[in-house]
Amino acid sequence: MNRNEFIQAVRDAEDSLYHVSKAILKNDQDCGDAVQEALLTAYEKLYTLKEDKYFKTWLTRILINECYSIIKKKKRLVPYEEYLEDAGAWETDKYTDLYLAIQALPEELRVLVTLYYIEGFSVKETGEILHLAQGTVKSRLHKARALLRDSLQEEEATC
Amino acid sequence: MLGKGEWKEAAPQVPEEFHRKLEDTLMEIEGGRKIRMKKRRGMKVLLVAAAIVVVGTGAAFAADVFSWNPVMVEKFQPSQEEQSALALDQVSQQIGQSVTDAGVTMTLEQTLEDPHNLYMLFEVETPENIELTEWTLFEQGLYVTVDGDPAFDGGGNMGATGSFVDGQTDAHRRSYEIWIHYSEEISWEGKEIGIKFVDLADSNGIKAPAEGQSEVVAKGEWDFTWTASGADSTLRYDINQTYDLGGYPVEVKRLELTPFSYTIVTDAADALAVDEDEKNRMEYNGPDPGMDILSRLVVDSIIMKDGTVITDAYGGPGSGGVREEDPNEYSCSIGMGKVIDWSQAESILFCQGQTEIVLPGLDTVEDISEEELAKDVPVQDAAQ
Repeated sequence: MNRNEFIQAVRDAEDSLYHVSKAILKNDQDCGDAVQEALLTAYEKLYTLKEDKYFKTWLTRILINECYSIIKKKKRLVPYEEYLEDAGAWETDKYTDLYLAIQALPEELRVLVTLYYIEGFSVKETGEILHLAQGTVKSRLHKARALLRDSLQEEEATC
Repeated sequence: MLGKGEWKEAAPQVPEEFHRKLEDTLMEIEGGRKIRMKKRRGMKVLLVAAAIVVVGTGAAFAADVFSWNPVMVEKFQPSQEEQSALALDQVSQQIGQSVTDAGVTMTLEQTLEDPHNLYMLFEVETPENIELTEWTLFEQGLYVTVDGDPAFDGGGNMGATGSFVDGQTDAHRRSYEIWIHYSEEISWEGKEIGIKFVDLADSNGIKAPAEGQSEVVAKGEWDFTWTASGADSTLRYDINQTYDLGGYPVEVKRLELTPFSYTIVTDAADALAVDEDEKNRMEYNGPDPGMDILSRLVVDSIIMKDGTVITDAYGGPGSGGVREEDPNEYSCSIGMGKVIDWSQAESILFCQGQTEIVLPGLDTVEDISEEELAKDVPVQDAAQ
């Protein structure tokens, strides 16, 4: 993969990169910072990618690492959830009920649902990205679906 | 019902700020400007005088990120999936940095890291006139730095082993492994690890040669630096249960599991009571699980969810002691002889198999098909 192909592949993956980073960081500014770091790291290490077909999986893994790195840095300063509240990260009227329900899931399930259901990664790819066995991916997706169902049914009952 | 295709529509649009940052970064890359070199592999090597240095070339770096060095595959036995996952996580890095001095070429092939351990595999190649034997060693032992400072702090927090890999017989090409272990967690992110080898020697059949007893066969220095990723793939389980460790009740507070090590944290008073009592008894009765608490916390076997029992997982360096950060806690941290996918582990047996700790986790539901997950998502009219 040459530089131009890298750039094109990144542009093709832009939506996905945003959704994945948003599942972890929630704050748009942090998502932007994470993607910047991830792209620079990915380009710097592009020589390690032997097969182009793994590009999106590989880049997503790098992005996730950068997201956790940002959380780690923020935690040194202030608890991340507290930081998010201060930053006004959640303007609920901007998002669909389903998306809000996904974002309310525990983090490990939130990222999983984003990768599998929103971004369309296969169970195998999702497992590779999150370093989980395929059976674990499936069982966690199963659990996530149950939680989403409960959450959305509650929401419906309240309306 | 909400079909899989509709999930995408539920997700938000990319905001302008994110788009701008992405495009700015791509412009940097396109223009070849401001690209950071976080990992300046070989820079220090280039500065070493008198050494002929070959920094990893494109060919050396072309190794597949997903495939491990065969020597490490044999040692740690990772599956192809585990190799890929750990490479993607940067737990494993392929370095490919070579230094040649006195005709001997050393290459730092691959590393593994977690918060307690750094493992490095080198390849040593010698010319025809220098033979590698079972008595070959480096004259001045290990010299390791972290961000330029000596890694050995003189205290008991860190230990290291370095040796040629067992079982290799080639007289001119062998692997050398270094395993550095810390009893407390270290944040490795961005830290530059330096390793210097000095003078390849033959100990003339002496296992622990004193100064002057070995013969230098290649006088030189082989100096390497690499940057740790700081990857932390630790699975942390709160346990907070008391177990019988061979007749002693010990509260296990938590388990911290990485792909190639485990740390078990217990109540310090419980743990130290074992040592104190055993020390006073001064006896050892055959199948006794060990005289000290550390021996009792060495993993005996791991039972996987599919019923497989791994009995040969123990194999790396270890440490045990009251934690500096919290004197109420005793921590035992031990490297594994093979890579373990802990997400697939059901329980761990300690104390020579007498004590089983079941790993808590998410509910597992086996055999759910991808088709089932893809169809019939149980959410009604969820998208606005």
